[in-house]
Amino acid sequence: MSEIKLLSSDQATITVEKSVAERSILIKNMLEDVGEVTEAIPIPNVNENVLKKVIEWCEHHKGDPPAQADDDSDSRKKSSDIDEWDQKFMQVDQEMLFEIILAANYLDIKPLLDVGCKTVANMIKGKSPEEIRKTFNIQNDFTPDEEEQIRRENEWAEESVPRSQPLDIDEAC
Amino acid sequence: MPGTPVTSPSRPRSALKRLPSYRPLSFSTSKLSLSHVTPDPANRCPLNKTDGSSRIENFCSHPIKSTSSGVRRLLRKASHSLRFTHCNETLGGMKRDKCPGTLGDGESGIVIDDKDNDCFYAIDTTVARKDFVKFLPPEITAHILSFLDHQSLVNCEPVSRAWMVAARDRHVWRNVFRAEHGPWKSKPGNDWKRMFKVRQELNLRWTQGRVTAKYLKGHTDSIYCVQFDDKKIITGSRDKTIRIWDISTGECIRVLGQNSRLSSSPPVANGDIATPHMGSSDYHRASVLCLQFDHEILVSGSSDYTCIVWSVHTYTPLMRLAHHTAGVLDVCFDKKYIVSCSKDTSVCIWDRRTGRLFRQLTGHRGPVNAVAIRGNLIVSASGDALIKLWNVDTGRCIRDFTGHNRGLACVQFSEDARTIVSGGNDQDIRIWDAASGECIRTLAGHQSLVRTLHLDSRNRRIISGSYDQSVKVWDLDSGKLVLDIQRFHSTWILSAKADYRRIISTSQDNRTLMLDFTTGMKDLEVLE
Repeated sequence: MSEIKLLSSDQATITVEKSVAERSILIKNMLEDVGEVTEAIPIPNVNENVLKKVIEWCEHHKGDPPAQADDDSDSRKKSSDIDEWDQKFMQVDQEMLFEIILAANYLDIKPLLDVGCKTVANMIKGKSPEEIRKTFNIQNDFTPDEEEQIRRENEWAEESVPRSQPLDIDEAC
Repeated sequence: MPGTPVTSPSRPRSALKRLPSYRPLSFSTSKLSLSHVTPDPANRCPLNKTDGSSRIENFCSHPIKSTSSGVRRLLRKASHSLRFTHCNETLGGMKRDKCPGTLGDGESGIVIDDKDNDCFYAIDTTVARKDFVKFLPPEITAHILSFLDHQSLVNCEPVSRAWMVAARDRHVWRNVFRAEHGPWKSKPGNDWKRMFKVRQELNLRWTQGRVTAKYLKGHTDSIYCVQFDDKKIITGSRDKTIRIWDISTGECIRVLGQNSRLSSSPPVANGDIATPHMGSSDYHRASVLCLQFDHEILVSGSSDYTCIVWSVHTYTPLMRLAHHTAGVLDVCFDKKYIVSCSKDTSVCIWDRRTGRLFRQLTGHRGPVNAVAIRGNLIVSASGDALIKLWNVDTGRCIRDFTGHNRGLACVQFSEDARTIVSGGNDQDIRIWDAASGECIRTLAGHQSLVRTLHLDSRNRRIISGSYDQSVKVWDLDSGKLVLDIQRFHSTWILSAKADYRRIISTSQDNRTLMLDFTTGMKDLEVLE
């Protein structure tokens, strides 16, 4: 099993199985270009902590089948569809979560990017604007009037009738 | 042009081809580093933990040390290849990934939800909470928001000004629209949020049954079949005619067969070769039982044992398909083949272009009442209570679907051919997994024979029509009854079709009924 070395932004050298590192399309393409590398490959955008975390993810997912072509029947995936292991993996503080997302984007690891973004989306889901602000420490820069107006514009999005109503002809006609 | 790929001269063209099909979100390192990097050496220290934006600068400005020039060059090349993805392009090319996970229920897992968060932060208040919209590249923010449902997304708008801009992004709304309403054509300038709003109202009308009804009158006997598009409705009747109707006015604009003086002409009873360019008086000599049209042709099948292929532009007959030895009960076609099934218990596959008989499928022991084709697969349903799946190329029956205990009247494929729905005399509608042959679900509710089914994959609905005089609308995913339309027809329903805004049904009462869910709706044109 061939191994390669990665050099983090804070100059830490991490040895990793080549097949694991190749979950990163960036590294994969690089290795294809260069062939055999003995020296450490610099990953200047990712520090040691984050890089280790990313490698942990890649190790767990090294056996995953390659991403399948998208098709329409699967376009309705919900963001809560996160693998149990990934859910645990993503139980980190926000700082680390956003760094993982940035690293996955930079290293071009789409499944990890998606899992990270879904995790953040799940932190937003079902929350009121005030709860969202609290979750991410956001300063509200709207006046109450402005905020109210935005809410009114979006009233249509509220859930309304229950489904499965029989059609009442007399009303319908 | 911002979308133009930037490649260093040393990178060969072929390297571009090796780029992954997925293009990463452009992490705009170049922009950020150019505009923000200061020569201050303090900035090079790894990660200022309190400020996300300056951290990104640091990412970019951090020097690459102790690396040979070769690897450094490679790295530069690789980041070039990443950088050229333009925001729009990236989002356009990116779709949701299949998640290999099996956890269907996010709430029972360890999803970070409200409660988890609160208690998490209550324990450790030093953990930074970060307004990511302010420091993540907008493409990544858009990617995050794309995983939301529409209600959560509108809740992001009043959070702050920056969030409002992010939450109104049209790419985000496009993804949210497609996630909740399925595929929809993307046109430049589509206002996906507005489309969502209109779609939402329309769905509400479907669930509430708010419709206006219009009857199309003209046929003088039972109407067996119907299909429609944005402009026209085409119906076929026991009165031996096909009628074309203007969908906006409801007027009959064409009758095929009314003035037929062809009773003397004998049917083309055998001979596999079509007879092109028949005289214009050559119409069906008996009931028109089935039809299908696309943008080129209309194919009709009749009790006169034949199918006629018409030009859908001029409505002149192009050829007659004659081989069946009894009435043609159903017909369908794709780009290559026309498939017909008959009371003679067989299914015929014809070359669409030449009209030549390509293959005849035998195996059913009763009249074949319905047939559908998707790619290399044909599904047929018969009075013998069996559904058969056939391979077009080999002509072999792949499998029987058993479960119905009475004769079958109708069968349909989903768009992806993974699902089959069927109905018949046992009054149940069954949904089958095409690959395994398993019955996934049974929809009970009709009180008589289920005569017609229309599977609307795009709008996730099944429309059924029955001899119990009702048309029912079912949710394709949940199997729930969404709408039960009764008493509009005074007798058996023979055919029903639907699109996103209408249901059109035909009956033994000689009338075609058009139910429109959009009457009086504003902004409907955004969906068209």
